[in-house]
Amino acid sequence: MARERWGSKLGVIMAVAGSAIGLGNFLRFPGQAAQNGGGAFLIPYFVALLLLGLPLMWIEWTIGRFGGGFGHSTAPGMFHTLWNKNRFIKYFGVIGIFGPVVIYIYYVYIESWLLGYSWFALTGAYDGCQDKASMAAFLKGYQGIVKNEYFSGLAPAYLFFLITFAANTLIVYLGVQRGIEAVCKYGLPILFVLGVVLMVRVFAIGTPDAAQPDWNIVNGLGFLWNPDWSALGSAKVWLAAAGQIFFTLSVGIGVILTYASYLTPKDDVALSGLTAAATNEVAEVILGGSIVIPAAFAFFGPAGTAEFAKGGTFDLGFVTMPLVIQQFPYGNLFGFAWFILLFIAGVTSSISLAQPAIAFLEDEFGLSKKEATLIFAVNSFVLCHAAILFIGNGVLGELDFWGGTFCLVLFATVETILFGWVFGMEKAWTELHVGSDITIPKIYRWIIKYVTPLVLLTILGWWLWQEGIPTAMMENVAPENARYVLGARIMLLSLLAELVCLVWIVWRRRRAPEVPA
Amino acid sequence: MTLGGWIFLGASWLLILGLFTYCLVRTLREKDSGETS
Repeated sequence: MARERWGSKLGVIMAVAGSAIGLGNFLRFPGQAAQNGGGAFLIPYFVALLLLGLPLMWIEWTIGRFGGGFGHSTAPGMFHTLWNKNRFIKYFGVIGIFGPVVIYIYYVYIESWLLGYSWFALTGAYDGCQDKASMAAFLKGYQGIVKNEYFSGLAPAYLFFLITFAANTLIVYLGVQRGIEAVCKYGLPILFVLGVVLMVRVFAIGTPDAAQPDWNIVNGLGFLWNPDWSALGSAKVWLAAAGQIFFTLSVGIGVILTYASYLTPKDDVALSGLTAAATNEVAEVILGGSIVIPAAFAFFGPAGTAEFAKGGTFDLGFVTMPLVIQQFPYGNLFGFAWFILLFIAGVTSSISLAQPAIAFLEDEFGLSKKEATLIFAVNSFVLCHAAILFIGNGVLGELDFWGGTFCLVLFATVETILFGWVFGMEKAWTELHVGSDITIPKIYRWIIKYVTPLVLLTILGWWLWQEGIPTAMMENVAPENARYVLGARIMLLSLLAELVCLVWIVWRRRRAPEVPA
Repeated sequence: MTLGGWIFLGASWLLILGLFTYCLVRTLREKDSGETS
């Protein structure tokens, strides 16, 4: 069976950028910047991009292309080719399939809310919600957490979930070139056009309330960008910036490894990785930093915006923005544009999360695309119900903790050490520059070998101490939710055990030493 | 917005747009930009 390939260089860059550009660019970044020093946050942010983000991008693109040369699209096979003397490293690579599947379970459901809200924006379903409390009640009703005057059950949310799930399944079934690449090649330009339209509309707000002359768009930008120099002395701010860079670039998940495995051995990875990162930064800093916070400030003032920023991603996306956009002329159309923008960002990310598991079944078990997609779809469909049915019982947070946080940091730390220390910096540097369209500054040899692992180990240690251990010990779980959280853990452990068994079966069958495909 | 805010906004936008434009131009200029090799 011939290995799948990308159709064009721009296509793979768009696919990786599409994977990276998600809800976090438009909702998490502005909230983090506003709470961590404003403009001054951008100093640790860019330092983290240079010392953590770009090295990880290059590491993952290089490992992915190298592993693809041996016919592997996922981390177990790739890690085995990097360190074939070690019998256990392939089992560690399971995290590169497990993590994306776990994120996919809840991400597709959240993505379906965006499709639902696009429809609600067009039809004016939430037009009657004029304050934060009623808009939050609309969201809770939609999620099925409460029954209220807006929703009497989960049926609308489930319908939009089915449509979203089917769309994702169809795209990955169509394959790397006809499915993923085609969607990203059209989806990403549409996303950027919608983002620019919304940004220009927000800039045109001016001073919406003449009685509050200070509540204007310039001061809204100031709320996000005015530097608070004292923040630079706080370790928390530096770690928040490193965390933002880490999560925004989609590194440490395993999806870039899979995408890069569809390159040919002579394709460039250095410039492509840099371009994908730069594209993500345009969406995050320029578009993400110019829409939500400035708009919220102009309508709700400094105190209201500070409250919204602390409320987190869901509040900003599903409560604040609909309230703000309702104030615009043609608010329904702009509301539709906002939610469709986020939906496109969601789809280009979720299809990348589905691909590693499907690729694993295709490559290591020789299954057809149809068989692999069907197995993935059936299993993930069942697992998604944990997020759908028990969202009010702490299950979504639990899935996000293990799949979206713990696995990412751990996986990135190990792959960086594997790349720079086990595979060896000499070989790694040569491999990174095969077919390269740019020469990476030599200082990155030193950064990749020493600085990036050190930063990652610091983040891992700090995060384990601050959040990891308390969450693992269920210290913040309400007693009535404990059994749901435990149930989610059993589900995740079963999935992990199943994947480990599959890797064991694959390598038991394969005894001969590997040669490049 | 303070002068510091404008400086940070302007510098960040310039840096990112500059990097993005450089990367895009280099990518499109490469001979094999149409197809992967």
